Amino acid sequence: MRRGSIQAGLAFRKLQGAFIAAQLAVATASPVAALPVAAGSPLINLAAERESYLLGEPIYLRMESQRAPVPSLEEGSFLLAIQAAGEPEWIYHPPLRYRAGPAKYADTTARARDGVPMHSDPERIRFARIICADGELVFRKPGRYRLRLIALPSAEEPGAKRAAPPASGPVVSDTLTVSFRDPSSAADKKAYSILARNPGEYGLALYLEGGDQLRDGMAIIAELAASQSAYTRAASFVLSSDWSQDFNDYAGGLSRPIDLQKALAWAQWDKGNGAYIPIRNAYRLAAAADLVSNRSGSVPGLAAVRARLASFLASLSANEAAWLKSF
Amino acid sequence: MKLSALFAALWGLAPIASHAFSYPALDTTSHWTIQDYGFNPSQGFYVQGAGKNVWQAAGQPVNKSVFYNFAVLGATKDGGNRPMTGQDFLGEMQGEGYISRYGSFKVDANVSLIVVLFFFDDGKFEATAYFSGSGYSSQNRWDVLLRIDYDMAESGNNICEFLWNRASEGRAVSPPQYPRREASDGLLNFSTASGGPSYWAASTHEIGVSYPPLARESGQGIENAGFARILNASNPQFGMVLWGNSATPLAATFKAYTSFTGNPDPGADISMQLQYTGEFGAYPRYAYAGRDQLMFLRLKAPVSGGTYQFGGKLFQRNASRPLAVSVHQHPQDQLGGFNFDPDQVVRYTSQGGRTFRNALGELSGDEDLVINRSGQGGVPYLPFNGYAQPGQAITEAQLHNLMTANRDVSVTGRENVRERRADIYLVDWVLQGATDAWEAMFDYGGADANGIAREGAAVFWPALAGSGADFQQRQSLLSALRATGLTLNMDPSWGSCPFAGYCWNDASACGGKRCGASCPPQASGCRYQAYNCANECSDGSIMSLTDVNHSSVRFNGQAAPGSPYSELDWYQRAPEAWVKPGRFGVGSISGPLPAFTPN
Repeated sequence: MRRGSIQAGLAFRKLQGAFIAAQLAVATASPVAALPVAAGSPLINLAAERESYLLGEPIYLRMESQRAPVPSLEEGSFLLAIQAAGEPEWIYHPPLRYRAGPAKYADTTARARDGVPMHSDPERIRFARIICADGELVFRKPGRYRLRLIALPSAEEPGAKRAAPPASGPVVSDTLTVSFRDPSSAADKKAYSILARNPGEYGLALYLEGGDQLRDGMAIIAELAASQSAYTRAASFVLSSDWSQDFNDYAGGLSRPIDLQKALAWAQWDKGNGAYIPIRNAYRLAAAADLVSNRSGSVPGLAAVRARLASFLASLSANEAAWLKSF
Repeated sequence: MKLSALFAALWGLAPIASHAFSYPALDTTSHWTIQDYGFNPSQGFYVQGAGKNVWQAAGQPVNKSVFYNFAVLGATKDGGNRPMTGQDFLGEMQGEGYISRYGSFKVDANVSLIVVLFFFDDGKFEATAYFSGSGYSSQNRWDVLLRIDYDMAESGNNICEFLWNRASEGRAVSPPQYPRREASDGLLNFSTASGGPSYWAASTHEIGVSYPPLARESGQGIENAGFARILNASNPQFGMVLWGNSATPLAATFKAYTSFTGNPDPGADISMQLQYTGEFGAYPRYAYAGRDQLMFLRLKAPVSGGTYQFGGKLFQRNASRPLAVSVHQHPQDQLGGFNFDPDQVVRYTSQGGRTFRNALGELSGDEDLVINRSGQGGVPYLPFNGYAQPGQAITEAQLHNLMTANRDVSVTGRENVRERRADIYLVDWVLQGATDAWEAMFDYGGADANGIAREGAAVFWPALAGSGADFQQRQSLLSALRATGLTLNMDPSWGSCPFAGYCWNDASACGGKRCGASCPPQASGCRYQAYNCANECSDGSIMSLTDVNHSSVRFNGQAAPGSPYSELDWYQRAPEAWVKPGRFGVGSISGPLPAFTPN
């Protein structure tokens, strides 16, 4: 399974995309010419799947630009500023942060060599999972919250070094308002009491979309998935995502491989309450199916997963299909 | 076996180098110094001007003040004040390893409060009190009141921090603060319920905190089950941890000296600034500058009756901030034969040959740096099974699993870990969803048993490919340095140069690209973009986004624009360096003293 000269990650993307691409006729977007920029118009538009959430629910924040690739929040290029009514604005710090190499795709030649299109549509859509930070839930109190993206203070040269995140910087997005409220129905209250056992780890399991090492967090996820409440859908998706990944218990005893049948059983396909979860679920399942198909022996559930993916992918709009590639 | 192989094997089995003793260090061979003590009705039983010696170098003790005034004011009976009205007796004693001041004082009709203050040579101090007399009944609720005017190392301004955890009132990493409504009364209650690890936190404003009896753990540690600690302000190194005992509940009120009115049992005024704090999203609230303060302490009736106790211990932190880095890697045959070598020269600069080791040594000092890698010091090579196959993508959940499984967490010995620790993972994987990532770090936020929030950082070996094996090897060392910087809580944003605006081609610019607010006339390739900076060129530091060929391979010693800190400052002197992982000279205080050579 060693890579050749091609980048392993890109090889993986191609491998993973092979199945999807075979089902989908998604045209690769052609490079976009420089666009005139209307003064004052935001570079990035923010959208959530709905305006109102229960405490403990994740926001799958869609960041979309018509003019430029949208960096991941995890890269730290843009900072998500959150403000509750009557309180100072604060900066969200995602649990994972990463940095890409400096100039890998600074020129079109390298992109062409590696098969990465310039500013293809998927790069102009990003999703951020806003659920936990600093070992806590991000939204812990009922109320209205304003979300916007800010950049660090600009310099003429992007190579200038930066200081710690400022209290404010150039705003690069519109402002999104969401509200959080306490659960009110009996089922939702019960579900909240379950996640409140360890909200930090529950939130991290949602953020990572799995992770059996989070014993408390995944136990909460399993309980929520098995019950009926407003929290069931996201929890079921995380369970499906978790079963779509191998898990190695370093201490021994609980290691397990991908289980496509369980992953399929917990999968969420309904786009009615937001398309992130079903599309992300499809991404996870497709990745898992590609991985296990290269393993020896028959793979229970593989055919069923592929069939379900095929029907789901056929239901996607072109825009939704682009989301799938944005992952 | 060849001699060289034998030597290598022995080298691999060699114990981690012991740390050199460093100064300043608390002098545990001499008594405390006390200028005065006594009784008067206005301040009760007091000790004035208590201090302790600190060795600045071999044979060079310097006396440092601890308490400007330490007073047992009196008592309360069922909530009513009972100040000391007279003394029965007053005295002092000393023995091997301690000095003491004691007395008996009238607080009510036929009730005396007996107080013994111990000051131990090893830096501990202790107040023991009990009531006596025919008028005393345990049916009444008797509390003991103290006022402690601290003056750590003559700093005047001090910093106070107190114990906190997520289960405490407010349920936040940092305690809720004025003007948030949870703290509108200025009182916080520590909870021992399961809510994650406890933190040291500081309050911007005057604050009252209450604690149930906290059983101290045994051992040589300085900070186990302390409820508060006081440090000299501005790059603090000298301070004390305060603790109660397993039977005495207590409440402490931290006051600004300027708001002291003489009231022996005041409340906290949340409109009064106590010290200056910084809110770091991922960390507890830290103070970075103090004000002149004092603390009022109420020792509540022990749960089973008997003796009231309160005490603490001084610490003197070493000048350096020791560092231990473990580099975990996949087997070298998966990495093109590359075995992580901290002494490999990655680039020659005006500073000479730059290596992983000498770059980190500038942070901690060479003598306080320990580097382990897979195949040495008990660090195993990383597995593939159960994660991802060589060269393939690993999910975020799997990477997190790998890091948490390998991280060096020492719950039982948490006070005996002297160094700041960092775990770096050089992996033959790419990160799913971000396959061009060179380094990634997890920051769970909650501190572990060692008080470290970071889970670790990874370097993705395949993502460094494309420019030859030599570049890939050297870059992996530089990326490991960057990753170490991230785990040491240096701000990641220092390494990224986000930009939203126009970029155009310019062959003369570093990386062939220049950016600005608008395109110059006739600029080619101009487009509106949002991305990280492409290059930082030769003046870049380890935290910058340069590749190894364009890096100075040094942590930046110059303050970043807009910041009072450089990367070196941040590691050596920023608030995180004061309090995390919080091992203030454990060896210096409780361990055997080195054999000083008289000058």
